Amino acid sequence: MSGSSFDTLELDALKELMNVGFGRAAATLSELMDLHVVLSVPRVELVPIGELASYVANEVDDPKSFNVVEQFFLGKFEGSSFLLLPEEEGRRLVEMLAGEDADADSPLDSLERDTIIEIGNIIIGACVSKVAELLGDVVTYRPPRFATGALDRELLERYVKPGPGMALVMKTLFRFERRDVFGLLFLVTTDSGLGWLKRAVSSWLESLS
Amino acid sequence: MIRSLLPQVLEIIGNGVMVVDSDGRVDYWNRWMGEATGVEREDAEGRTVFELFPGMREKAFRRNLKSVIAFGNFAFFSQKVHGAVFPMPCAPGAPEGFDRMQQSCRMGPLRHEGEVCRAFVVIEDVTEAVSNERRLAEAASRDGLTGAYNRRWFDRRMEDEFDRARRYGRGPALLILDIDHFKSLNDEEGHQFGDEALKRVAEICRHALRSTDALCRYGGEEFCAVLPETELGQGVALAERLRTSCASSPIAFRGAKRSLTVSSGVSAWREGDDVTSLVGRADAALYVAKRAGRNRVEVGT
Repeated sequence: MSGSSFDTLELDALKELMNVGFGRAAATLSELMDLHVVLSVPRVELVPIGELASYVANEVDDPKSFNVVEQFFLGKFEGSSFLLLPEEEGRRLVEMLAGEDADADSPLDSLERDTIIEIGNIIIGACVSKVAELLGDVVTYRPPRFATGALDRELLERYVKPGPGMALVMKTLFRFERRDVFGLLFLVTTDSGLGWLKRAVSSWLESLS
Repeated sequence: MIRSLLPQVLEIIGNGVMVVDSDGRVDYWNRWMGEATGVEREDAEGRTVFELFPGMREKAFRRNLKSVIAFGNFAFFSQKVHGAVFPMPCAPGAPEGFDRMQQSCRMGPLRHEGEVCRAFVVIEDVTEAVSNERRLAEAASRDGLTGAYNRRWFDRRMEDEFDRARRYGRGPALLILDIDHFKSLNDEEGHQFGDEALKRVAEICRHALRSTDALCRYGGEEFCAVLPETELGQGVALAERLRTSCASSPIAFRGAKRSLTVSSGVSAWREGDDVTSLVGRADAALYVAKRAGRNRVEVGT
C-alpha cells in the first residue's frame, strides 16, 4: 500500500495520536526522571523521500551548526528518529546536566557529545515508545548515532537513503522547562511501514469512539 | 533442543551479563561477572548494583534504568564519558596505565507478557582498544625528538582554549621561546649536539610547567607553551624562570659543552582575541627580544 493514500482525516488522526503519545512521554519523563520537557503539538506531513533532506533543512532557521542524534527503531512501527539540537543548545544541555557525575578529565567536546546522545536517546525512546504503545506495537532500537555540522543533504542522507516513495514526517518542537534549551524531533517512517501504520491509526480511532 | 542450550551461551560468552529489576537489584549474574569482580553469583544476586559497585556513576545509571523500564528504551554507556560504569579491576594481562577496566555497556528491556519487567545489562571490556587508541593518539600528537606536542596538536589545543575563553571569559597566556644562535650552534657542534640542545630545553620547560600547561614544538628551534587561564604577569614570570634555567644549564654532549640562552615573547588572551592575534603578539614580542640582544623576555602588547 502506498503512503500517498493517507487522507487528511487519517493524517489528523495520526497527529492526534502523536499528540497523546508525546504528552504521555513528557509526563513520564518529568515524573520519573526529572526531565521536564515540553513538546509542541506535532505536525504530520507526507514528504517525498527524495526531498526529505531539504525538507528538514528548511525547518530550521539557521542550519549551519547542529547536533544530530539519529536512532533507528524497529518493529511494525519502524523508521528513523532524529533529534536536532542547535550547537549552542547542546552546550546548555551539558551545563544543565554537567557536574553531576561526569568525568572531569574527558574533553569538553566528547562530554558534550555523549550527554547529547544520552539525553537524545532517552527523549527519542520516550516519544517513539509511547506512540508505538498507542499503536499496539513494541519497538526495539539500534544504538544512537551522532553527527555534528551543517544540516545539509550530505549529513541527512547518511541516515535516510534517498529513494522513491513517500516518508511520513512527524515533527515536534521540544523545550526543557526552566532551562531555555530547545530542539526538534523528527520521526520518519518510510513507505514499507505505512500500510500497517494506516490500519493501526484507524483501529486507534475506532477504539476512541 | 536449541532453546535449552542457549542459557549456556550466557555462561561462556566473553561479556558481562546482568539482569536487574527497576531498583537495580541483580537477578542474574553470569560467570564472566564473577570472574571480573571476584564476587560469586550467590553473593551478587539479590544485592543492588549500587551496593556491588560502590563509586559507580549512580545518577546516570539510574536515569537510564528508569527510562529502560518506563519506555522500553535501550541505553548505551560509552567508555568515553563513563570510562568504567561498573568499577572493577582490569583483567589479567590488560595493558598498563589503567586502574580500572574500561567498559562499553548497554542496557535494554526484558518483557514478560508485553510489560517491561527487568533490564539486561551487557558489559564489554574495551581496555585494550582504549589503550591502542591512546597510543595512536599520543604518537600522532608528539614530536618524536623532544616529546613535546607537535604543531597540529597545538592548533587543535588553541581552538579548545579559545572555545573555553568564549564560554567562561578566561583565556590562556602564550609563551613562544626560541633558542638563541641555534643555527651557529648546529653548524659548529653538529646536528646531534643541536638535537641534544632541543631535548634539554624541552626538558627544562616541561619541568617548570604546571600539569595543565602544554609544551609544543612550534617550529625548528622554537617552542610554545600554552598556559590555560593565566595572566600576563604569571606568563612573564614563567618565561623569566625558563630563561635563567636555560642560561645556567650548559649542554654537554660527547665531550662538547656549551651554554645556551633563550629568548621569549609572551602574550595573554584579551577580549576579542583569536588564535592568530594571540600568537601574533607573542611572535612580535619574540622578535623584539631577538632584536634587543637575545637572552630576554618581552611582552606582546
